[in-house]
Amino acid sequence: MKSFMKSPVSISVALAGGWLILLAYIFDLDALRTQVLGWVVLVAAAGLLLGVLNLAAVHFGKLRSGTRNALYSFLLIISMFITFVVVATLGPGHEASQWIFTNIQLPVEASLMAVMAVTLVFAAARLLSRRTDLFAILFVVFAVITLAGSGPLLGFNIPLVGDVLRPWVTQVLAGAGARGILIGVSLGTIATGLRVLLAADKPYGA
Amino acid sequence: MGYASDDLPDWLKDLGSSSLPSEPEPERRAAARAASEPVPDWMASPAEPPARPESIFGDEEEGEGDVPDWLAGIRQAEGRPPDAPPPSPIQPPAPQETDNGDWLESIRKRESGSLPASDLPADDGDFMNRIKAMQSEDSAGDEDASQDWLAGLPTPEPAADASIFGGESPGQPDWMSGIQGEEPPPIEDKPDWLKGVGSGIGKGFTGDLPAGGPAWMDAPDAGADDGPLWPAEESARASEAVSQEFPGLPKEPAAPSWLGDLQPTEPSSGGAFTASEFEEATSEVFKLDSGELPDWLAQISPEDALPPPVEPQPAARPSGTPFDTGDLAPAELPSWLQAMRPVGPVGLEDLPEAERGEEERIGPLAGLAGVLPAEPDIVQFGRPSSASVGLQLNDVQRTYAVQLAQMVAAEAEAHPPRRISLALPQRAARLAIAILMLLFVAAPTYLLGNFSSLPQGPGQLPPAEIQAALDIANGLNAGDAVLVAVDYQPALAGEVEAAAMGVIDHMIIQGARLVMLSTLPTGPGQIQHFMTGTQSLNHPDYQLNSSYYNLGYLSGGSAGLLQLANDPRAALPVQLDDGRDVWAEPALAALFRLRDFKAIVVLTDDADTARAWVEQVQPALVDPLSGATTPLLVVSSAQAEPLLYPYLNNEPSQIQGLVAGLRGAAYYEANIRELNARRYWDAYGAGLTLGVATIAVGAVLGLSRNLLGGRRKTAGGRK
Repeated sequence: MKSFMKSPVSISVALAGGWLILLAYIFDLDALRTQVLGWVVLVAAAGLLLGVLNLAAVHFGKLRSGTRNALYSFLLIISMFITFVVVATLGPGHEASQWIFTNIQLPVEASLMAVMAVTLVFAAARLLSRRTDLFAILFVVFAVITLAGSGPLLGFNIPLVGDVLRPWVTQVLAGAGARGILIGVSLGTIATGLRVLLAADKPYGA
Repeated sequence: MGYASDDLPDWLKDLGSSSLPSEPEPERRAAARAASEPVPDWMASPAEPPARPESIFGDEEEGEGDVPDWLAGIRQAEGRPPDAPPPSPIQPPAPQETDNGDWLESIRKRESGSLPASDLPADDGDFMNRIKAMQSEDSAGDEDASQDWLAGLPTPEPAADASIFGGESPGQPDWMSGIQGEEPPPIEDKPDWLKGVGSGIGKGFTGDLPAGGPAWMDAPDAGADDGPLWPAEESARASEAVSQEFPGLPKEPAAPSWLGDLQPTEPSSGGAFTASEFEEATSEVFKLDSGELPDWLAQISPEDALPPPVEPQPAARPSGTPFDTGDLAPAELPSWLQAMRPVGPVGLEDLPEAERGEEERIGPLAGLAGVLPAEPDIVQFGRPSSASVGLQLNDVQRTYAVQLAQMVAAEAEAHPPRRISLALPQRAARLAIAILMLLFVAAPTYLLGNFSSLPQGPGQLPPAEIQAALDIANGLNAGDAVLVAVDYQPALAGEVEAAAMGVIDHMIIQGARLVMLSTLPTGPGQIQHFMTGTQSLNHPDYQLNSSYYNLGYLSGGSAGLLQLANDPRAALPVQLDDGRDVWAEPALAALFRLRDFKAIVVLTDDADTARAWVEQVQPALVDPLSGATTPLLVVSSAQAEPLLYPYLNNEPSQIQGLVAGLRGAAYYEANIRELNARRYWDAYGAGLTLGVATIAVGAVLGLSRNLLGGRRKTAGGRK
């Protein structure tokens, strides 16, 4: 009640939207549900644009403050401005837009992923040096089994590992864990939905 | 000129109360006007009995303990005890309220016969006896010496021939008219001392008392503007005369310096009692009871004691003097008194322009100036002083407050990433792993080529999920629409595109029309990159907007997917470059629901994205009437594979086909044709081998070192 008095508009809108969609499911009001979902999609798109503007404002503030990393903020603002102008004017399928994506964004992110691969290998190699317990040993063992069964080692598929061990680990052990996780996610989603519908939880920041 | 009754002393109020009813109408009006006019204090002060001047013989009101030594010596010389009261040879010339009130009241009561003569106070008797004696001794006889102070006052309209008991004055109060109009009944038992009172008093009051008060009150300004009643110079002369007469007397102590500063620079010449008037008024008094005085005092005449009359100084009369001062010289006010003097009403036209204020231009006060205070008088310039709200903190609280402020400030600061200093072996090991990884990945791709065997050998069947994907693609016919969601990040584009290349190639071969979208902002670019960079190499005639369509970005996340499941056209209202509606294209004209698509293919690197598709879209793919299900095929990275198996192995399955990672792509391509999966397979295997070897070697070394280290510690502890 106290939070409701603090921000009655946002809470009212959230409650009305949640209960409306729920009732639309119960009473099979497809038209109403589709209309509300259209609003949500539109607002989400506007939110994405606001997020981009907020990011630009933050880095513009860093640039004005003259901090030590202001150069990176300057590069980000320039890159954002150029990309926004090119894609907005020429479209995402234009060659200029594709050149930016193929030659800048894709290599940068792929390089980061490659560095992460090297880092993970090194960390896994030093894991038992830092801690020697059962779960660390199990982690290393199953990591080696999964990796060894994922591809050929020295050009050869190791018998039993790729055909038996790896599928058993990924589909039985990992599948069991994944089901537990998914059940937990479902229960958590129901609880969160009820809390939002009862205004006990306000993820919209009210 | 009259006065308001409030400004009169009590004894005058008593007089006025009886006299007002008999006032003539014009004078009563004048009195009323005077009453309506405020009388300042400085004007009202003369109504008070004037301060008694410093007597050269000392203050009669002083206690005995205050009698100076020289006076005490005189008393001893006369043979009286030092503590005996002085003979009071001199009555103060100033009128005493109680005395005047008493004797007038006595007269009034005597006239009315309500008070017997025996009840008269003794003081009055003495006073009257003194008057009687004065009458008998003084040849003038028509003047009562005790009332000389009244006669000596300046009167506006002196009536020399009118007496208080004989003359008729329009301003006389009733009680006075009664006194003069009715002959008091003879008092048979009147004492002797009282017999001469009537004539004496009647002769004494020669002036005409105006209504409301005696005549001396008509000159308030003069009295107010005067200096001390007994000027310092006159006092000095009197002291000098006394000292000449009595050379043996000790001199009075000199006035202190601060008192000298207070004395006026010029002798005052005006006032209710000037020096000359006071001298005249007291000349007879000093002659009273000379027999009772000591010899030395009887020889002193008032002329000797009093200083010579001060010649009035010609002073400029101040403008606006409301009355004729006669021969009274106007007072010269000291500077401090001039500053306190009230200023009469001054017209606005007399004020300077700056003080008149701004003239009002609008409103009911238009044309008037200075009516309302100017804004500078209202508006307070500058910041008002704010009340201090500082807290009183002790040392502990202050320390806590400082620490809290530092914590808050530290949270707001952006800390640069902490540099981790690695030991040289670790940095060398990390660098060696990176170099080896590059060599192991690059060498098979560019040097060796196709040396690794595929996971599916000849004659073997692919896994069930791969086989299901193959069956879905094989079920497509030419012109069938397939919805493809490109929901992976550019960072994992190498793996996902390699995994999806075989599936998409298979569908293109089958003649499907791909309708592509993305729930990620980078999706539209990713779609174009995937199609132009991979598929166009194998299918150059498969072009955008003719063979496949890019619907772009679907915002809203899960909500967008739900809307897409409900109404694809509303969720993605896309127009082509020429303005045509994409849903009006021949390949898409028959598509109104997701079930109208022949297959849904999701390319993702994230299990949550795949889960959103399963949760939001998959239910819309089931036909409620026939129960037929539009197949949902997921092509994911290897990291999302374990989390997607529950949807795949469910009954009925929510995912009909799954191709996960490069291994799944290798299986898929092994059944269609060799594409990028086969090309990447050798490099993938080489890198995978190096990774497994590094982890295994590092784990063995680390485990052995810990085990050996633990044994050494145990052995050291035992030693």
